[in-house]
Amino acid sequence: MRPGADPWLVRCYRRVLTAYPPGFHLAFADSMALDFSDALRDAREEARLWAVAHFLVSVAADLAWSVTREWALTPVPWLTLGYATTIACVCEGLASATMRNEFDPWVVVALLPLVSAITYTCWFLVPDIRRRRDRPTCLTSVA
Amino acid sequence: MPDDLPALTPAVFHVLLALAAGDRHGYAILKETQARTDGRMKMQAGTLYGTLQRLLDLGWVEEVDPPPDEADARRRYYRLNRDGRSAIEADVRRMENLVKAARGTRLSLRHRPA
Repeated sequence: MRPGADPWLVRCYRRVLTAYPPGFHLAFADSMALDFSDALRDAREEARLWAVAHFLVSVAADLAWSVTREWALTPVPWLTLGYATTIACVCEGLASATMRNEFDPWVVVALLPLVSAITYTCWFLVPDIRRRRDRPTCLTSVA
Repeated sequence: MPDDLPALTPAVFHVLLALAAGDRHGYAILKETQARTDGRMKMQAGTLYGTLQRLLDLGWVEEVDPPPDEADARRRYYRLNRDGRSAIEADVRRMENLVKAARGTRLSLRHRPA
């Protein structure tokens, strides 16, 4: 850590960087944290509170936009949506057959957010957490 | 590199322009872009590294070893290669043609002091 950098803010930033897709995170997280630390130090050298506040707001906006964009460039959101739609359709199909009702597509639409969240957690998030946990410590950054 | 390449986005243009002057690490690219545009374009790390990722995938930019005088070993340096140079040259030519076309009209194109 360089002098002048705020360790807890940089630590928070590093934690937020895990929101990027794993490949992107592995490739650029260390460089991004280093740049953030330098930019924060520069903003503080301006010795104005608004400079730091403005910098943090623009970093937050950039993170929100770029995390969304990087995920959208991976197949994960589309696969999640595909799996979730299939599961929701099967559930609604079975329920309507059991209760002798008509298949209601609006039930599928209503179920989609919850089923997508569960699908994403089971298919992508948990395996990713396991992979990160099982990664040898020699491959994790100490920066 | 064909001349009919689509217009580069501002982020791609400024990253290529910064690297056209020599090998740079990420923060140097950000600072140079900010200085070159008088602070009008303040790129943040997410945009920069997303752009660099795509330029690396396109093969316009490559990662190189840091120079021997680099104090921080964690810094990663990037270099513009021949395809990247051709792309930015084509974009500059495209913009020159646009300016030339605009000068042929009655638009006032005199430089206005900031």
